[in-house]
Amino acid sequence: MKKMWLPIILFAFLGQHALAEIRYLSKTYAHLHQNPSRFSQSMSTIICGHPLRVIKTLPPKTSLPKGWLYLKAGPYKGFMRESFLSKGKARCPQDQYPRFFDQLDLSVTEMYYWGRLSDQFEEGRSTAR
Amino acid sequence: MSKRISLFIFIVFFNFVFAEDKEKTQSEKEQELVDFSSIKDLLKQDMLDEHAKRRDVQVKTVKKERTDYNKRLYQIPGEDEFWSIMSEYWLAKNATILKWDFQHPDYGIGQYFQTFLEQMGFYEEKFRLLPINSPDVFHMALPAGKETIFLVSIPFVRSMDLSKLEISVLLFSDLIRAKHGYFKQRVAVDAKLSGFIGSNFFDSKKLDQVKIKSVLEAYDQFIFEKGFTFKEQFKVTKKTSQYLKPKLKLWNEYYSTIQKIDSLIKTNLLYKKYSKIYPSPELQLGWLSPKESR
Repeated sequence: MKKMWLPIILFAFLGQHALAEIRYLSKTYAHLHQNPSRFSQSMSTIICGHPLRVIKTLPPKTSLPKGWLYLKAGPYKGFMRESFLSKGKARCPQDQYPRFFDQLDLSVTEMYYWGRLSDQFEEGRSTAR
Repeated sequence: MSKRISLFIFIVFFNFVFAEDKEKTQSEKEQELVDFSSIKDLLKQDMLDEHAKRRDVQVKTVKKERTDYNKRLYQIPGEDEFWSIMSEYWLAKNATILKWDFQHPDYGIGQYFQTFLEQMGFYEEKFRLLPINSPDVFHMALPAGKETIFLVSIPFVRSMDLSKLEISVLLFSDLIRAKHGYFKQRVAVDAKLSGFIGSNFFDSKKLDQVKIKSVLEAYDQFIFEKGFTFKEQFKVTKKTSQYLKPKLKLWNEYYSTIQKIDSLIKTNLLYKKYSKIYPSPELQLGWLSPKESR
């Protein structure tokens, strides 16, 4: 009977990490935000295809607006719009044209603004109803 | 005595054999090694020559795949992706001039414009709208592959107190411009891009940085200085008018918006440059006005 408890206890401690949902950035560059707002300060600039772990437990006194996720990328935790992420590996221009992007020789500032651009765009598509 | 003679003969024979072996060149030895003719039948019987041929083909395929893979790494984006990357890169580079990274409420222009396009029967038009907090660019459509990036100056909109419908009409005329491909054509010519887009720099291993710089400069020149020609503007005005005429309310909005712009650029120095980029609201009004019959 005691042996049965062991996997349950292990799952309680490790399960959260072991079964963590992974999302991949599908925009060329984007930001992990301090707050769930597109104008919020950036915690880190993320490059397309980078994996981010979805965190279910929110920081205290924070609510998650619809369409936003709380994520972890490396040592940083922050918020990002769900529409910027894909469940599988994204088709990134940096992977398709690696040497072209390498030799564009983007500065940190340019990457930062490119990421901010994704946040500031209002996207639309007209459809037949 | 006979023993001595036989020893002499042996030494001479040994020297002869030894000397001959020494004289063989490396290539001769290789020839001997590669010469399968003596065991050709045996190889055929064991299917070894078939195996060798198959392996040869495999090696060639692997080599070709590796070369193709390496070559693909040096690919320059094709027509659609190139313009999308370049427009975004230009916007990122000019963030401090255009001032698009500013906090603002959700104006709802994008949503309204989407409905406007649907009302006009323009379906499956994918776009991205970027409000900018600078009067340097008034409204502009940048190429982005199968999408269009629209820039809308908030100070410009505020100066004329434009409604969402009026903004949509202006964006619609920008979309017509984008569909004519004037921007792409002019930038491509100015930056001498023929043969560059979609090409490969595997051989040189160095991306032509001059071309990239000249593309960005051509963007600058076009958006801030040169703008569209009279001929282009005439075509766009006429085409927009054709699309809007069946919905007279929209056509009237288009006409009155141009009137508003005309009076703004005549009174506000900040927007004097407008007629240089979009020549010219005054002429546009003339092109749109119905000709008096004699």
